[in-house]
Amino acid sequence: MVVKDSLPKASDSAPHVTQPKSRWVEPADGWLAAGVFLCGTMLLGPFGAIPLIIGLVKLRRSVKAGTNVRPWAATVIGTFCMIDGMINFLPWSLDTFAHNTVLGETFITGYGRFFDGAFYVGYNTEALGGVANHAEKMWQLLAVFILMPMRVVSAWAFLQMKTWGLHFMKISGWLYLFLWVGYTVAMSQDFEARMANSEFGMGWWLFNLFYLSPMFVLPYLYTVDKRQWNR
Amino acid sequence: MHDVVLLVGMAIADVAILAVWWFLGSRLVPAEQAPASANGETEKGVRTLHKVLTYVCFFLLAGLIIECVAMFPAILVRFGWS
Repeated sequence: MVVKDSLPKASDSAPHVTQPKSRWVEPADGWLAAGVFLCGTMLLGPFGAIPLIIGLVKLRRSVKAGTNVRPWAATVIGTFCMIDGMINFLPWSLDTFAHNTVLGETFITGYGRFFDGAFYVGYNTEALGGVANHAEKMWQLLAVFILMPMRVVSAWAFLQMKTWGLHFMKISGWLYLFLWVGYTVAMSQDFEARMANSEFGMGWWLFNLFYLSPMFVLPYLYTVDKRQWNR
Repeated sequence: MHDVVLLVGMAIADVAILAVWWFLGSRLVPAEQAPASANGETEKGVRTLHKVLTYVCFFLLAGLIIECVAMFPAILVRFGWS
């Protein structure tokens, strides 16, 4: 049984000042989230750049004005990881769940024609549908069900300065490194069937470098003052 | 003899890989408090590291945004609807 303390406390007599409670750590985070989500779909990418840039500009201004709660480095790194997670999660989901739709097939096979033949040669001919290459399917399921959703939520929690966000960013960073190395090896081993069967061939290597996020993010996560992530 | 060379090489490679992970693992858990004499130097190094990483990540973020914006329109222009 719990007995309530009926004695008045000092705080009860103090004037109650209500602080306006913000939904997010920074007021401009709404712009940031909308921009990342739209860009992350890839299909609505052109519409996502505008809110994303507005969000980043507003956040940069608040840093210059000294009114920011979150360090600028955390904003840049968190946004980078979140958009990175989204553009892997949603398009791969399209291939996993919506490979029979016009939108899904147009996007995925178009990407395949540009960069990776596995995404259009024999498309929709295997048991699980979508991409037919077995190695690619294995990486795809790992990414869609485990790593990429984990990366997206941890990046947002990191941006919201949550303790678990920092923790999950580290875990998903190591998993991402694992996936990046495995995927790169799988692509290279299947060069003739994949990159050689595309318009840009080696072009995949160029933009694969932009997905090397763990190499730059993990050093930050392990040196940052973790006491700031206390929400 | 050929096999011995390969097996010894494998053992050396395995030990080297384990050593790299030991090195990383022992350094990636920050101590609760750094020695007082090391604080100034450490903080300066960390600040520089964070600055460099922020620039690199901003550059990569810009690249990803360009990719997001351009990919689907480029597919539609080049190949049309499937």
